[in-house]
Amino acid sequence: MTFKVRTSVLDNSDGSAELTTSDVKLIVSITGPIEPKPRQELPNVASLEIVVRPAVGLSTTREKVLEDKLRGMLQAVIVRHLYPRQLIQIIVQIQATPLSKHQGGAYSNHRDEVEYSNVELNAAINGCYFALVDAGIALYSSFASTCISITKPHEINDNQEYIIQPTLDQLNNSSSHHIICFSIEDKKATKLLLIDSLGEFTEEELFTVISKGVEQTELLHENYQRKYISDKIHNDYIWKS
Amino acid sequence: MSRSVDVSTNERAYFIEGLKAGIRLNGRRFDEIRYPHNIHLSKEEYGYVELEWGKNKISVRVSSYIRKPFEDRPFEGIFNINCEINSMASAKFENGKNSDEEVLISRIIEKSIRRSNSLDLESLCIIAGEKVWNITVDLNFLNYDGNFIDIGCFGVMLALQHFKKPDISIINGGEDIIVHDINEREPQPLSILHVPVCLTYCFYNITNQQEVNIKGESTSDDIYLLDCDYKEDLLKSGSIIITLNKNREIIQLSKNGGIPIDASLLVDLALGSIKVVDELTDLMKKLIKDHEQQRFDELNLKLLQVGADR
Amino acid sequence: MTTELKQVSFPPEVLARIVPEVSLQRHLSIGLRPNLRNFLEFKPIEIASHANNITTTNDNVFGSSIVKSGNSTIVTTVTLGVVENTNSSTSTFNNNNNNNNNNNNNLTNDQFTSIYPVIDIQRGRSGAPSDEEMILSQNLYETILHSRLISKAALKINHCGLAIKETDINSDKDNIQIFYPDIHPQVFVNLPSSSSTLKKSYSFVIFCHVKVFSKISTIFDLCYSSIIDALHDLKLPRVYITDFSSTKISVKSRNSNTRGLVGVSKSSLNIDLNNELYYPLELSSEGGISCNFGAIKTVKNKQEDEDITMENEEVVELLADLEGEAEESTILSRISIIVDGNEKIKRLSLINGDINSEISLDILQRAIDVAKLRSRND
Repeated sequence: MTFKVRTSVLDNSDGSAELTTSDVKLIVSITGPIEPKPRQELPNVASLEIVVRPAVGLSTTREKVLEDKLRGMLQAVIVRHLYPRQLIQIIVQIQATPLSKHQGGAYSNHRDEVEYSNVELNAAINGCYFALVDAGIALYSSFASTCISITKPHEINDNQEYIIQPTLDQLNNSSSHHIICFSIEDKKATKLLLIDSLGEFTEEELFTVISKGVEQTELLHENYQRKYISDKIHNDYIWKS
Repeated sequence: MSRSVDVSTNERAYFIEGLKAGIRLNGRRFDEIRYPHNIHLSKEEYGYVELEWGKNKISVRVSSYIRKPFEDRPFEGIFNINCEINSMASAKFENGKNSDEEVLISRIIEKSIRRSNSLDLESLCIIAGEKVWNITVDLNFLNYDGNFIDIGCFGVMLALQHFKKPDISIINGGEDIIVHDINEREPQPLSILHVPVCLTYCFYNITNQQEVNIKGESTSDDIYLLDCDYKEDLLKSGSIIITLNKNREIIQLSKNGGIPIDASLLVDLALGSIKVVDELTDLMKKLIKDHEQQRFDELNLKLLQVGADR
Repeated sequence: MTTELKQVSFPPEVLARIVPEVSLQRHLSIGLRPNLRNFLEFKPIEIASHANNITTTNDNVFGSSIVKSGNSTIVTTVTLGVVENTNSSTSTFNNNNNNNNNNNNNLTNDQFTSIYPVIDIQRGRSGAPSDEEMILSQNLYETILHSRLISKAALKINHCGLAIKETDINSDKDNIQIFYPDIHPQVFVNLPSSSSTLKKSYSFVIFCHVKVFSKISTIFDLCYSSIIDALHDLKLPRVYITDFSSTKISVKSRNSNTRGLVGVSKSSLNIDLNNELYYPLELSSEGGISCNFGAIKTVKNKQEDEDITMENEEVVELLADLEGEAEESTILSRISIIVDGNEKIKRLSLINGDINSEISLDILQRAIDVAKLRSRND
């Protein structure tokens, strides 16, 4: 699994992160806390302005749903009462998706291909984490998200296959796919923040997926998030020693 | 990061004094551009380019699909450029609201590239009246440091030259087509008729007496700067955008208000631009050529080549 | 001078307007919800399928459904579009892959398609769709796509008819007869197969227009059941081609402003409104029932030992089928589940928007159990 992060990539934002995974590339910028427009202002907490921009074409209802899900999840992790009457702008620019990479980016047939916007949601959540840390916005806890798909057995004797970070082909052959996001405290996944499952699955499969989600998000935190954040702090405070 | 972008009077005076002494605060000559750097041509995807130009940062993606042509243009493919600026680039751009500046940027890029017919639309036709290629360019501005027009135009042209569309066969006597997988047949580049290059000049009135200029007296005091950065752009009192190509043709010219300039200056500007246009065009050519060579070597395409070198 | 500070008190309905969260908490502490339902009680739904005459009185509507729940009414009408199949998209290279998959009898998701929902929440003004409408319609689109409800094969138009114009010499009237290859095979034997349109294949596209009247609760569930019901009601018509119109269209050239005329023999596709030939849409799986839940932390006072200590116990309560302003604005931790009759989950969306009233795995389990029970009962 490739998982590359670069932070502070944009000069005009308070925090930014560029996340490259095996099939999605995106860049998140955070501006805030800044003064909101009067209609955005909330008296006791910070308001969030979330914009998701697609890799190809103009933004559609698809991006609206991504924004809605991101907002639901982020408002639970950002310590919003620290910034009353302020605005935090979060812009997610998706740059490459599994579909855009399909056929080397040369050809896309809109009608015949099934879109998996949840794969982008997964990457957007992970990207937001680094950008929020980079912007110095207060968070209740760390959070990490993972994508798992279930492939039905081809033969009766086979077991179900749980695939972590599935590719486009694997998603196409899957019977269901799940996005699971956990908050992480003391290197342990503690609270469920978001589950988004589509397809057809049983309750048992769901709980297996959740337990795998715990494993994966902890791994992600241990292997990537901690490493990147400690590197970042080391570099940011390089003058101090 | 604040939304407001005001320059103090002191800063302005300092800047103007600098210009009088022939010095730009960024140390460039008056007619020197910031050259693009950190140019990333994607190896995984055709037509995906990221580049920086000063502190400007953009990403450009070209994508294609097949559709029915417009009824009144059955022999032509469809080409459009999406460029929306959001507050990622700078807090001065509002989300979901087209500011005048944003409209100007997208109109000029559109005029320079699409309306100048730099992409041969007739070569995008597959079956007349039935199937044509639709080419879409998505231009994303990530960070703003003045002069989005020149960098946007450069990025789009570079991405268009980098892009390849899959090869096509027509079967059943023009009834059906096969779109070949890119691993089956080498995809085809787009047919680009000419490469427009936009250059923006900003004007400064250093005498500080605007009335004199309006009366049409000597304007020799005016100073023009090529490729302004963020601060220079804020202080400008007028600008002109010239689009030229390597054939020394003017593609587009626009001057949107601001102080009047001497008509003869226009010719000087056009002539002076030619050198920069040549440099940028050659840079694009070189980048594409190097990238092709790299791909050729990495994929060992030599093994597939038929025929001898002559 | 002393001013006496009086405690301000509000009647319950005013309190509910100004501090909905306090009002909700007070209701919950006495074991009631503002809408007087029990915590896990759903609002009854009435589905008036086949009982409406929208389909029979409107030629362009091919399926419909009316769903009522409380004061809310949801009217879904289904209209159809026809598109040409782009079989060109599969190159030989891909075809091989697809064939392998078919041998394994394993269906892939790209063999399924969805509907195009247009949600319209009536609120007394017109304009661009609101965010809520956009999010609802996209969620419905994705849910139906990924639950493998409608296969592309079911929407393919298999026997495209042909209209043949015969001029009756006696009465001097044009007589149009429609022939279908499966019903009148003898006609097609003699027919020259020159018509290029016959070789093309077409598919239906389903548009669902959902109108919501007096919305007071989260309406994804109602819209979903309405659409599923309308899809069960949906009857697809036959399609025929008229091949005899030849028109001239004007063509603009890029380099000059003159327009030239190019003759094009355009055959148009028509929908046969003879409803004896209508056939029902085959759904590949069951739709299921959609339920939504919210979780909120409540404080339970142990009133018995009032004078000793006020023991406050904090419990996260699960509420089914959120309704009303107080619940919708206060409860941010939500679950939406679709379960079908075979206890298979089709969609699960959980967002813990309020970290204090967290939906734990136990609560999720409980919500799934309730959703299963509900799908079995209905």
